[in-house]
Amino acid sequence: MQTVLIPTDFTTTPLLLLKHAALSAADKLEVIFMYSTFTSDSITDLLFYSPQRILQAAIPRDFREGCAIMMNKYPEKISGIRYEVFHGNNATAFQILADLNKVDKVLIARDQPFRLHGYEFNPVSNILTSNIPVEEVAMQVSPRVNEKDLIAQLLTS
Amino acid sequence: MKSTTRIAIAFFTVTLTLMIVLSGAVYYFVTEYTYTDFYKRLQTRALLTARITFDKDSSSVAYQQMREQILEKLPREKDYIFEIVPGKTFTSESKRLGIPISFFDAVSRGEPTNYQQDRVFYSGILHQHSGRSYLVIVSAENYFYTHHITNLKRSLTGVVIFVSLLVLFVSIAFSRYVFNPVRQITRQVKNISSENLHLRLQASIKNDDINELKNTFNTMLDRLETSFATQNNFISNASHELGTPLTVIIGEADVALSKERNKEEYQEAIASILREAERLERITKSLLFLAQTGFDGKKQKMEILRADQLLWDVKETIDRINPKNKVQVDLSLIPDNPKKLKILGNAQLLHLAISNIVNNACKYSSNQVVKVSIGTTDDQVVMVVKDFGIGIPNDELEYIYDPFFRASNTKNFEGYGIGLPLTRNIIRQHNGVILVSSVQHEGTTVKLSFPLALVP
Repeated sequence: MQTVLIPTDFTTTPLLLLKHAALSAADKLEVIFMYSTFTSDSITDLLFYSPQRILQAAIPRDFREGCAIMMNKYPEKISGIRYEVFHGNNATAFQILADLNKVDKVLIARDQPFRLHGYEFNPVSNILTSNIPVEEVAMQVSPRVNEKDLIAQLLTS
Repeated sequence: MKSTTRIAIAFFTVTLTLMIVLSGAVYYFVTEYTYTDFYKRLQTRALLTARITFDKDSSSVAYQQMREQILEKLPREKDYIFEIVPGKTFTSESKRLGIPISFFDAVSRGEPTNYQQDRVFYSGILHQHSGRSYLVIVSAENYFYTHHITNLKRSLTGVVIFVSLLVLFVSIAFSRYVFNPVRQITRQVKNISSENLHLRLQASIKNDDINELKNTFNTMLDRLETSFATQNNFISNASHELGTPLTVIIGEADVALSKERNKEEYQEAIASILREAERLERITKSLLFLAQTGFDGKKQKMEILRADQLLWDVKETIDRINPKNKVQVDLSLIPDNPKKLKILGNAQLLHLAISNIVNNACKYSSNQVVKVSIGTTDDQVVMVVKDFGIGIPNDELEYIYDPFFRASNTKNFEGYGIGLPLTRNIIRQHNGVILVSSVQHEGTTVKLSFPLALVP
């Protein structure tokens, strides 16, 4: 069993990275989608902090459906998909998160823009400076369409 | 009964009940306190009486002075002292004072005891002096009970009546205030009819329930207006589509009959009339089918189908109709488990719907590459048909399901504008969803989702 971490912006890119991981994997995979966002500066949000709520609000339905398509396609390769919230925005914090989750490898897309909303940040620089092995994947993604078509884009990519 | 009245009555009843309960509680606790306090006062006086009567030293004088100067004289205050002699009962005293014998017995046992007879309160103690036992009983009228409690009762009743009237007034005003926006909405909606469907309710920027209701009404009116416009467009488009072949037929017949012609000319005119009549028949058949596949149409026979097989069948049909097509069926994300591909549907109808979409993709992309893909989520089979053709103008996307509607950039392509509404009807019949997204000059993507069939 290998644990693969994919930083996600909930576009087709992380789903295509998941496809790449499934196609190239020799063992079964435990996949972690890492959602990078700063903590809110609202005292109420901090008092009632809940990673599950943050993830619930952030993950689009289409993305979950995309994951389900992948799980159905590669049931013998993907044993499970879960989500982690990352707030650190530094290499040490990422290293701790990766160690805690026993991450074997991180997959990132080469030369792909990272879509950011609100408090989100791009964790790639933190990932690259950590000790976790990183695989950069070259991707051919057609021009982005709006989120409504995420499944359509995934299926026709 | 109007909701306004109902709310007012409910509000009034609840508040009045609370007021009565509160007043009752105040009355009860004050009365209880009055009793307890007055009996304590009587007991103190009984003790003083015993000291004054039996202690013949200087302290008895002090007690006497204290009683006279400090303690006020209670109304109808009386003291009784009875010696307890073995074998003696207090039957006669009991009858004379009108106090039950049990009162005397309880005091004899040394229990501080109280008794009330109408307005007069009795309290007794047991006092020992020089080896003898005495009953010391003090009685008095409870002035606070007789006067203040009556006053309290009157005040509470007055307050309850006053507050009831106030609450009644507030309830009516409150319910009117609450229902005022609803009355406004009713007034405004009454003014909207089929002649002035463009009118809307005045919604503010406030984020409240009433505003949400107004916005919901406005959205419904938008849909109604669109529906009216669609109906009008349908009639005018249908008249045009049906009228054009008829005009050609009448024109050809008129020209043919205007003078004597040779055999070839007649044949040419009749062939033209036949062509237009056939076109007319196709349009009417399509219309009939569209009506049949509508929500009120007859129920179709459903069976379990494999979605991938359906796509291959469509591909085969398209290859037969249009050999120049470049349809690419992509099965790279198809699930391995065949159960995840089963959908419940009518094979002929679904075949018609999907081939309509694929055919449109080929037609409007002038036979460029058309990608057809399939995948399965946890509960749905998703099919995507993507072309790189002329696309649909953004402002016309909302009309693509209107019968006879054709986008403004489709003049060079043959068609009647019935295919897509027909397809949507079929997909709806199968509890599916069709989603069309398009960018003009770049292409169109059609996503179809069907619920997975429950296969054991």
